[in-house]
Amino acid sequence: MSAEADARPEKEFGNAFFQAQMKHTYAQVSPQAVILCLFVIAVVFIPVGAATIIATDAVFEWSDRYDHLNRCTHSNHGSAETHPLGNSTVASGCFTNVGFRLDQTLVPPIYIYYRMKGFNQNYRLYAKSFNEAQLSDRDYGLSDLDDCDPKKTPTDGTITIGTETKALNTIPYAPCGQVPWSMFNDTISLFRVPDEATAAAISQDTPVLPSGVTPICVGDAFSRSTNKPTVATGCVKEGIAFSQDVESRFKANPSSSASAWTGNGYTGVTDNAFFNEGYYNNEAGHRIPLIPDEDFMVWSRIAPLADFRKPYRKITVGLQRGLYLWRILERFDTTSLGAEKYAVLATTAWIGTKNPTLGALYLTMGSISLVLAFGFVGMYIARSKE
Amino acid sequence: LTGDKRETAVNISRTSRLLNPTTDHVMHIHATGDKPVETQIDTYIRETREAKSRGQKASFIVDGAALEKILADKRIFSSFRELGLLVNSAVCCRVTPLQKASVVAMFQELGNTCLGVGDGANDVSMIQEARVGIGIMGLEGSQAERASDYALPRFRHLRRLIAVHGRYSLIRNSALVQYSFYKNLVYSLVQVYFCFYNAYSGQTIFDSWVLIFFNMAFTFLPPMIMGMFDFDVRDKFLMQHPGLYNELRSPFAIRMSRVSSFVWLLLALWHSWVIYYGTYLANFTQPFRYDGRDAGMWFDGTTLCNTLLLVVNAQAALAFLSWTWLHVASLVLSFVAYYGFIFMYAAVPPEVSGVASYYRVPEAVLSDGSSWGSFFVLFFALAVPQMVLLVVRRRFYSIRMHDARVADYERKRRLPFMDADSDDDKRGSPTSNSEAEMKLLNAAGPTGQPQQREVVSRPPPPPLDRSSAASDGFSGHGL
Repeated sequence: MSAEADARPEKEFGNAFFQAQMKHTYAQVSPQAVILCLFVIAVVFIPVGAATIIATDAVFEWSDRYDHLNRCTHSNHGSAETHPLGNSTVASGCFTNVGFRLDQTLVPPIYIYYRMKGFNQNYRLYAKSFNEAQLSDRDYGLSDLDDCDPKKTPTDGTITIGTETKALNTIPYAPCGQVPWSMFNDTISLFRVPDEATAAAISQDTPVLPSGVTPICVGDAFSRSTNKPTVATGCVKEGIAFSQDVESRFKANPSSSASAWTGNGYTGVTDNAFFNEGYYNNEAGHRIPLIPDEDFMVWSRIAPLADFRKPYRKITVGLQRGLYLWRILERFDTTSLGAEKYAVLATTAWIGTKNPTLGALYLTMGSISLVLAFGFVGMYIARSKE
Repeated sequence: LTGDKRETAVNISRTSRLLNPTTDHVMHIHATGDKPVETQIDTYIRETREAKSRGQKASFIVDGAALEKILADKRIFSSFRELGLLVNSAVCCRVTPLQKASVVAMFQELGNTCLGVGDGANDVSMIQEARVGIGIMGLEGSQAERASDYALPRFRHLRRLIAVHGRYSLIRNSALVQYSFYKNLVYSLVQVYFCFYNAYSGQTIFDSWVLIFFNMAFTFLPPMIMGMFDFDVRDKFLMQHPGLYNELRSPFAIRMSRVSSFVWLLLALWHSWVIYYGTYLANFTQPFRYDGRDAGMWFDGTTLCNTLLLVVNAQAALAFLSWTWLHVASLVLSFVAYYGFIFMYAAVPPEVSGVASYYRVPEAVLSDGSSWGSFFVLFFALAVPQMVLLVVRRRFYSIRMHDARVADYERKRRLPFMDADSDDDKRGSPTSNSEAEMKLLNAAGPTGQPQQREVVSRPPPPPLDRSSAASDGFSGHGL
């Protein structure tokens, strides 16, 4: 037997597909192609990186921590606001004032964000602790709400609504779950301070601001259900949440009835003042969120990290240089959690907020490509000379 | 290993070119005679070494009776094995089926892989003992065929089985297994890194349906093509240069050696780290878009998944050794499946679906500058150095397989009729070999001799007339 007979073509079996003998090509990438590719990458990435860094530098961002000033907790707090509760009232909350100086003029839209550090919205059991059917106004039964435990219903006790007496644990919260229960409810307002003397007169917990201090954005001057301003103010609340949330996802606006416990309160006669006022059971002043509230929509969008910022208000007037004041009505207790709260003032650009990392990545990648391209050219020349 | 008598065995090995009595150093081991078996073996070991230093091939012939003595005694057995590993070929005549199997087992104990070919019922033990057992169909009944791993109609088909199918099987399986481990490692490690940020609660950054479909739909086509249709050198070329099989033993060849598995592991660690931390720094910590709105966890998870899939599929593209329309289609379909799925899934309105948190998130991701930004930069950061390394390796530190591919490719380009079914063998060997092919041909072949005589000195075949070509090997071209 000769080698030729061995190498002779076999009879044709089947078609090219089944014999894996289709038309093919090898990726014989030549050094010239790779060098060209590297130069193209460098030429594209370096300007993009530079443009990104320039855009990022133009973005303004300023944040102030405020939770450590008064250390307002559930048990240790001031009397910033009073809550009617049946025939009596309950006072809670702290006023916190933080002043700062703005060194440049800002052009609207300017955003107010609140930032929390050390709060894990991305915790698995937390992230699923709400019910979509309640939010989008679909029918649901009490057993569908099991993900919301322990904030599904009030715990033991009974309530008499009109003439009927029911067990409290058959009336679910609407919306139920830990996500609505833990909604951020501090009120952040921005004031302009006319001069140094007035600023010196304001301490971190002054309850009443001196005259001369003008409000720019009053955080709680907005309706919780329509998101429109109740008092004319220099900021808006509409537009902080994604349009698909506003239009499709958060469509319900339930009212209290014998079957659900909502933030709209109940006008009838019951023996539970919390139910009437729309507070969580035994938590005076802790309002149940309203589903159409854009603040609630923003809070429901689970943040990926434990250090997150969420939009609060959008300022529609320009801000001049000068002294400003954050005035915050603190209701949210992060001191017990060991978390931190910040108020942030920022503008945005086409890439979003300050994103120096992206620009740095592009510049690095572009430079590496350039270096590799030159190195490769050198190597190729050296080798061809051999 | 045959049951025939000594003289018959010698004649047949001569005609099948297993040994050449005139030029080779042939040694006979006898069971009876003046010298005991162990002395004969020790002498022959020495003689073999001398013959090989002279450049001469050495072979021995042993019969069943001597083999019986050898297999019984441990010391003689180990010297016999040593002799067996030294010689170029060996003939065992008058062996029983059990002894055939013992001889094969003798080599396999050392960890070697043996291939056993047989055609009769007396070869069944050997075929089953050998790691790769091959039965020749037809001539002596079908017992060998039934007991074998592979059954061939003719002995000459063994060449194609090993040089082509054996090679393809090795590189396809290796690539498939190593790539599958790599992609699952990257996919899982990215989520492990996220665990450090979600208080170790096990929250996934990817949506649950995306998690399920990752291995089922978005990344399964490229490895399937890798495992079924990929190859590095064309079969015709392999048949002409069967010596290319030898280099598959090297740890740098395309196979599953410890070195290459370790390299894939490092690649998985590096890729997962860059993908996660790149997206973390560029997107997770900078959540806002140009309109001031907050992105959320599912938005960032989708960005991460986009980058992950691009890098993983690009790695498959880099691991492909050849490209057909199937390879291209597998990559394209993977991306189509992914984007198609997430858009369809995210288009289900919240009234209907139970997972409204994903509603219309993909379109928000794809219209966000930062998401695209990190997508491209991370992909290039991972793919470009690899491509550069690949080209550097193939051009400047090539192994025979690379030269073979270049030679094959150039031959394809030169002859205009070259496609998968080309008939270059019918038209005769190409009159000139490319530079790359000459480089390959000058490298030592399996027999230690340059292989030129296999290609260049072939006599021109008869004129194109397929009916006249004999269908079996005995065409009278010089036995």
